[in-house]
Amino acid sequence: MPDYPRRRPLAGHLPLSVPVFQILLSLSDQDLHGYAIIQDIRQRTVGEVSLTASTLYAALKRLLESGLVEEVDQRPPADADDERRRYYRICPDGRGVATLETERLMRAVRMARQKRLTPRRA
Amino acid sequence: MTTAGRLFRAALCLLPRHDRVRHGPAMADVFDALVRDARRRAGWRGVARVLGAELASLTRFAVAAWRGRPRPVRLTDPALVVHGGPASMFATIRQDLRFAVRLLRRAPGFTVVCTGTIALAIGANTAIFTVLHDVVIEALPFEDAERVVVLAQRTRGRDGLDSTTPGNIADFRERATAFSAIAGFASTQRLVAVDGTTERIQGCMSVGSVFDVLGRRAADGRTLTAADDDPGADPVVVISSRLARRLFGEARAVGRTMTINAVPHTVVGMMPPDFAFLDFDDEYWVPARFDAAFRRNRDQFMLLGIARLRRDVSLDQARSQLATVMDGIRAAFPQFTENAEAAVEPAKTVLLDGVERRLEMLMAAAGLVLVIACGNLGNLLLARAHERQREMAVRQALGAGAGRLLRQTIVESLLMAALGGIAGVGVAIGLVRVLTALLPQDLPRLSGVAISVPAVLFAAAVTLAAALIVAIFPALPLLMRSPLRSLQSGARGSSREGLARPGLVVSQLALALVLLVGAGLLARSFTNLLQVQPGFDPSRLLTFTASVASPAYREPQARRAFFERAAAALEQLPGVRAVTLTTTLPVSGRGNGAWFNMLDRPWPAQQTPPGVPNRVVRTNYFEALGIPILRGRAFSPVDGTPGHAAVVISEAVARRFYPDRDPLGQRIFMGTNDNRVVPESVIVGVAADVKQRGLDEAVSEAVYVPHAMVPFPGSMTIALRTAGAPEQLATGARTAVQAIDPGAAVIRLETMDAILRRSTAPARSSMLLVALFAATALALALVGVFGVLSYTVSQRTAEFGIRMALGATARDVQRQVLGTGLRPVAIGIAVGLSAAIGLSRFMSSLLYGVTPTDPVTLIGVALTMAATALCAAWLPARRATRVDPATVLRQ
Repeated sequence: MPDYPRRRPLAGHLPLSVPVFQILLSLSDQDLHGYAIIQDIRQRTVGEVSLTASTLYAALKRLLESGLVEEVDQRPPADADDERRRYYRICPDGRGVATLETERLMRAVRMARQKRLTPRRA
Repeated sequence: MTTAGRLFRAALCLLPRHDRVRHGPAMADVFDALVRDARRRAGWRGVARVLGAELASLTRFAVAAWRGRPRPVRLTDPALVVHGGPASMFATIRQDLRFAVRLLRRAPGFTVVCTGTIALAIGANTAIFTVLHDVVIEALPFEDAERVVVLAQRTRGRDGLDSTTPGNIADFRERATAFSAIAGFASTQRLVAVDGTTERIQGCMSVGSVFDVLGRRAADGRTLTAADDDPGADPVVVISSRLARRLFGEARAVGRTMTINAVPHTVVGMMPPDFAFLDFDDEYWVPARFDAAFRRNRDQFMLLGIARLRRDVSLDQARSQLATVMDGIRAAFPQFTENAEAAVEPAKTVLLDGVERRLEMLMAAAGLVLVIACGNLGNLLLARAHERQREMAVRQALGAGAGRLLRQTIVESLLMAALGGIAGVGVAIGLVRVLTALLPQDLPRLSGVAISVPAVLFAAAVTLAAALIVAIFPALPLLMRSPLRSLQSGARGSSREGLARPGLVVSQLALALVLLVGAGLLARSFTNLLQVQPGFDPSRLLTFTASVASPAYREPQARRAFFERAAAALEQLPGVRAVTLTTTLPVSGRGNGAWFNMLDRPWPAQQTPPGVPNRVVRTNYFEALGIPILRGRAFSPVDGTPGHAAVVISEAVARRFYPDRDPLGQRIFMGTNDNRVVPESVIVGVAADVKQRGLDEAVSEAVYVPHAMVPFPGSMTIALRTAGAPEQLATGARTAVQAIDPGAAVIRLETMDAILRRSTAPARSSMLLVALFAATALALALVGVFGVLSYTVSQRTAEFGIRMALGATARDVQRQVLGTGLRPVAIGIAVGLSAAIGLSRFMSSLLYGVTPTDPVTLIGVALTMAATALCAAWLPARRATRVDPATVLRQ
């Protein structure tokens, strides 16, 4: 595997893996800790995407290293919180990559539509 | 923490340090939350699914993380380096690993079978290790538990510990300096009342303070002190956390009052949940508070001692010192202790009572299975090595050192063993559940047994050992041959080369045979146990113990009236054929005993009379339990009433004390002259022997005493003979007894069948597990036979073709192949039989009614093995006859 430079063009991250994309979606409107991310993804996808702790942290490690996500020092009030929990926040680059990925997926959907592969609406 | 959580935390060590430190704790937290979720939703299946998915993704994470780490700057290109410095060693190991993976993927079926068997073997070893570790090694949760010993006495020439007297315990405490602390204790059943509800609960009474010896603190409040044992002290009690929760709920127990046998006691302490002291069923600890006279008593054998060895004293030194103290006691009180010797045993030995031995036997069996599985793996690699000898020879000739070749075989076997080891931990998790269900349920901390970090480390160590054993097989022939000869002889091995593989088969078969003999002996002893005649009719019997202790029952007449009314009420229940009472049921224990004195032949003054168990029974006892009367008569209803003092003795008693004369009409009493437990009475009958202690114990003696003759006890066991299924009467019986007195306690309500089943449970579980291991071992060994023979046949195809072309028939060829195949089988059986004869004597304490060298078992097992080996050899032999001479000659 080649070593990537620390900062590369946003498009260089594409396509995103399912866990990475879903994590960025979860963080797009709120800061969350690890378990909350898993729960959020499971709820949004109705169980279709269910991450293990290792998948989550393998993805978070990559996101942190490429500067798409950061750890936050600010935490919710102490009473609602477990001290060991770490909270994660999406960075501007992360938001950019997620947007690019969404565009890529939309293009794919448009192409599928043209080929009449769209499922019938319920 | 859950088992899954522990496993996951152990598995985190796969990650590079940096990632482990940064993400590990958070990952573990998230994992725990996921496990909780899954357990709530789908029970243990859900947990298993989460764990499986997690371990797989963790492995991927770890691989990616290690790969992504910045690499050290390399000065030399590994491709240019022939002999390794450290940099190239890493590269060659990677190369070896890639090569090994390719090798395994080329033969997926065999890889699955081999790693599967390794997984089973490692799993079985890990599971048994876990149980051994948690139950045996961690058996006593005390500081420096190895130094805690039980003090007791032993009858000369017999095994087993006997209780001793308060006076002897007092002497031990005063004179034995080998111990830093000594206390006495006895199990006790007392009626405990809190807020008006009464229960009969088992506890422990302490002479001195057992807590001083054990060195445990209370979770709340304090433990007992020696001062609490003073007869003038306020009555206090320390209770278990289980009992605290049951009696007082969430409220604080310390400071509350409990009425124990009608005396109010203040709860001064509560022990932590893991505290148990020899008997896990003890729920409370009370000081004995003996008065000064009873502290010097020499004829009430009711206490055991518990002591802590001083650090500078060995067990043997302590034994000899206590023996000296006992000599002094014997000189002073010869009539009580003539045959008694002092006994000092580690508390752990007393507590585990044989379980240790069963587990060690299982561990040995699982170990053998592992060795056999390794043998199979070695067999596979040996075949590969044979195919690759030319390759190896070329590399050796080009300068690859022996170490380099050895490393490759080690990497290969390590890979297979590692796969097996990972799967083995999964197997172990399942097996631990099975094992704990099969073991006697009264063992302490059985419920807490779970795969833990030591178990995972153990599995890793076993895996490593297995890999090294496996690696030896293919490595040896590689290292012993000169490369030149390999190159000369071409790819085809000469027949001498194959010696290592039949050798492997011989040892596999021998080991499997040892296991089979073990399983056969255990199976025979189990069926013997099932066929034991207990000496009474156990069918359709419902039994329970009823007891009363409120002040209303202070007089024996009141207790007798209660039990008579209870028996009469029970007789009125529909479906009850007979109701009888006894102090101790058959098969459930020796019961109380007393000295046996014959009036016609009194014992000499300086001799201790022998003790014989006595059972107080209702007069219909023999008829109700179906115990035959061999001579004389059973009790009549007037027996035991004034003027009709009568006893019935068991056949064993008659044999021992009246070998030369008719016991009928003889007069006896039991106890000491001034303390007669059974007053002078006439022997009116001899009853058939009954297994009193357990099915696997020798028959024990008994003197049956009609209940009218002795002060009526406050606790009796009631047995109902029923017309239909006894379980159906359980509720009715309890209600009938408690209708007479709601304060009466009814415990141990169960059928005689259940009691008998429990008596045979340990034998059943060891037999099943060893049989499972033996079957696995046999299957593995047969795979070995099959493999070796198939290989030989494929190597000798040309030879067979030529023979057949020259006129040999298919039968000739078949016979020849079978002959080759069965030679190692015969040797294996012979070696195995002698090993089994040598080893099985270690099992003799686990056997019943069968000797370790039982010829039926040995011959049966040898025949079974020969027959199955013949089947395994037959398939390759048939293949040999299918050789087409024309095809072979054309090649």
